[in-house]
Amino acid sequence: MIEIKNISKVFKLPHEKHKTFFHKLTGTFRSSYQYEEFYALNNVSFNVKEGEFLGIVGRNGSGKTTLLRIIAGIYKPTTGAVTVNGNMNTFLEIGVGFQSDFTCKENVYINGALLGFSRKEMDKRFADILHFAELEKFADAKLIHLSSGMQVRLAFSIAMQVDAPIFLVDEIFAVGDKPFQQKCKKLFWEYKQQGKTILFVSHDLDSIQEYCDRVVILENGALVKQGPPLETIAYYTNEVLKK
Amino acid sequence: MQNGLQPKLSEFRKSLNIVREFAVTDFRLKYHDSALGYLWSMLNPIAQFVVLHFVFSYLFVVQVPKFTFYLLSGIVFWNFFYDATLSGMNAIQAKASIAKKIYFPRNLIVFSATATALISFTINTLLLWLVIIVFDHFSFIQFLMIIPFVSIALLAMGISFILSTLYIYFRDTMQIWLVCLTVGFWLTPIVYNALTAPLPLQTVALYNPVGRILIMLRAFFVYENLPSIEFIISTAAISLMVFVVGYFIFNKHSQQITEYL
Repeated sequence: MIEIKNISKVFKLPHEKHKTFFHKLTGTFRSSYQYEEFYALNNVSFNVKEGEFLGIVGRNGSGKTTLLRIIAGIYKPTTGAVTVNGNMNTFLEIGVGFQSDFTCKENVYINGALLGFSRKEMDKRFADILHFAELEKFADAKLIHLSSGMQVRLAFSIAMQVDAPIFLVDEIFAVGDKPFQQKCKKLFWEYKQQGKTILFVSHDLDSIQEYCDRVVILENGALVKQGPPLETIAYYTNEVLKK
Repeated sequence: MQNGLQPKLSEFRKSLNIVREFAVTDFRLKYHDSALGYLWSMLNPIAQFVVLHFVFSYLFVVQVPKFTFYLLSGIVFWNFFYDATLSGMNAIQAKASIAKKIYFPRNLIVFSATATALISFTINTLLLWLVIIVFDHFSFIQFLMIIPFVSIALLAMGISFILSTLYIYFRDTMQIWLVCLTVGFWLTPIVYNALTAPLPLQTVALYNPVGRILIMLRAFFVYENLPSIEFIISTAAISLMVFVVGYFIFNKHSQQITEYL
């Protein structure tokens, strides 16, 4: 389903920032453009099978988000290649494009367009979205007047409308209050039973253990271990987090 | 890029949806929460028109027949060019948070910036036409103004593509372009007649793509002396070429763009 082959991503960390023509000009006279190569990802390879629930764990800055961005097509890998068979729903962040000065209804359409829905398709889903978000009363309220939890609920409910065989999920279980979280978890179980392929990044080791069939550990951009959740999570807590 | 299995048409429709939502959202945000709303956007060109009309009708008299309509049409088109290129250059930066979170073709951001500017440009052009019909004349030749209208939109889009690519790498692009626009205003036949201007200025005005579009516009809109067909075709071709070149330059760099944000 997803094949990740020898992916490396190099970011150039300049020693001096040359962001203007003037700096660039004077920079060429003083010294050549100096930078350090930083490997955000270093030769990472793994496959995700169809219907698999794969967890990705790692400390901050270990390359998890860069990896998801590459799979989503936002970044291009420096070397290596990613092949994805099928449509993807990327939850790198939910509520992309929300305008706090607009009403819930308008934001549903804006966000929907970014997720690939036309206005007509959104018309059909609108009631469902508000129902799942438990915001029926607030359809015409400006987003800015909603609490941040309510905004996230709305965003999550829109995102859930995308029916794709592959899901990329970046840490979204911290959404809303307990009852809403329960609802989300139920939905993910349904997805799992429907045989969807899910890549799941989280720091919440409990939910990783609960859902995932396999776990991949990233450390400083390299894949250090992969395997079933029990042993990888034990390795992660004992070896990686204690360093 | 991953959605290669999907038919092209639905991809196109998705893109169109995104452009429309961005353009309408930005247009509404611009005039949101202000009592006079859209009228504000017309205040600036009207003030510009009044001042220039006064200066060049009473202080330094220019010999242009139907100067009022000549100037008004020039200002409407120049203002679109000004707004569209500036907002197009800044568009990627303004949408950085979205571009980093979700994948969609990056050029849609620049398209929608031009589309936002096109909304007010369309309204203003129709108003301008109304003014000309009421106070001057109506003729079917005026419908030909669709040619300069589309030409300047293509030109502005092409330049936006080039500028927004440059702006990612060099932040001075904004300052430099602002200077270019200030100088460009006077190198474009907006307040003077290109054909009766002194020689070096005349050459510049005729080689300036915006200048050519304006000459064409006035010929259709204000006067009824049609320019030669070669002039019309070459002017439209220049705009199309700038658009195509800009589009390719942008797309060549579009993968790096998110990383530089």
